[in-house]
Amino acid sequence: MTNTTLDYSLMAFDSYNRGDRPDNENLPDVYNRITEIDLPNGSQAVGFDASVYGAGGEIVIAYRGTDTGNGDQLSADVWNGWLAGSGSVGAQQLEMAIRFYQAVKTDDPDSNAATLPIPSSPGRLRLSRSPLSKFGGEPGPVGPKKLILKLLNPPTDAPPLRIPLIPSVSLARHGQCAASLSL
Amino acid sequence: MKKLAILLVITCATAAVGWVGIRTAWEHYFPRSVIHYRLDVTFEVDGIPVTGSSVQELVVSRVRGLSAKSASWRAFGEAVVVDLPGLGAVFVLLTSPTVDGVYTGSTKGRFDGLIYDACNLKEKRAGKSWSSFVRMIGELSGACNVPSEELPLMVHFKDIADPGSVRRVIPDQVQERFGPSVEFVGATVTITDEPLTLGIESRLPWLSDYPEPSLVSGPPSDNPSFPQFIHHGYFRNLRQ
Repeated sequence: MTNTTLDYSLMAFDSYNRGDRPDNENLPDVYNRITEIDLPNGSQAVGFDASVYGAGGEIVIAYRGTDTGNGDQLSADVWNGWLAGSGSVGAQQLEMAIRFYQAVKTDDPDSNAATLPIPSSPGRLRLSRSPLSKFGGEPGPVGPKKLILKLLNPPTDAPPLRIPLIPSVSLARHGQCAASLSL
Repeated sequence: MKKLAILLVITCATAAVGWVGIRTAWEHYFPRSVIHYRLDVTFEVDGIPVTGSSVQELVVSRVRGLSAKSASWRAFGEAVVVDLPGLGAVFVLLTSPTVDGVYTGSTKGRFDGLIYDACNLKEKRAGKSWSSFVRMIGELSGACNVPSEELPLMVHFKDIADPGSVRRVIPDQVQERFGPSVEFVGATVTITDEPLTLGIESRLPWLSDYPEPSLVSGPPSDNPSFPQFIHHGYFRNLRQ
């Protein structure tokens, strides 16, 4: 069954709420979360996080957005993520996003992903807002929004990754470094 | 010139007062508490208690956002090392299995909540705002026994030079791993002001500077191996 917009939203919701607590009993593993692919070295230090799902015949990466849980996480996202939205290619979450994408692709060569459309909109992002309070405020990851990059089934002669120097206005508004990826 | 100097002083004073005000309000609405605790884990070998300890750090912050009703919990430090004489070391990691004892993936988040769960802070939160509760965490003292369902994940290396030889140690099945002379006794957390325990890299020379890598990397499969679920950060994860 092909993933729908709602599925992507729920994957974003899942990733953000689950974070590094995949045993969260309030979140059944509906979308076959793949946990064996390591985040790139240094991800935690720069506030980068992402989840991978194998669902609907696709491999979907959900890049976590801003963590507001504590000052350290927030400042890491501001300096290493938000700056990407202002056009800084030096924001390290960009590099992590690319490296993680490549790691996913390496681990699942059959996906042969060639395009990374961003089925993201402010409305969808809001679906994953302030979720933790629903779970009683127990210890765990928190955050308001998430961006999904969807890996489609591309032609096999896919061109290599390239990074646009100037992200689009809408992506800058989301403040998401990962949104700057394109092919 | 004098007027300019006065204006400059007034501007600086206003800015300073404003900054202090904003900072005070920020700390009032979004408090953060940092505490150290010592995790002691005890086994018995031939009836003789053997305890390993590690002083770790818990950072609790009220989640940013005026409407947020939660707190962020993050634990840092190094794994506890319990040296069983003649049998090698048991490492008590910075991750935990699920409540029913299953371990099939990263559960760092459960470990972050070790003190919350072990010391039953949920009850102590009753009636308090999250800000008050977070401030209360900073004033915790005393010790708590860690219930069996909250015990962190424990592992042992068949060959400590080979990270791929990691094996799980299940507390109530230690005899199967180490023989009938070994028993798991229990674990406690004690709030302390001691410095963090450091130096685990002397025991694990292959330990990465980064927390992200798993002990054995490999492609996803329907039946991933245990070392694929164990990350270097479960042995050492220090606050940046």
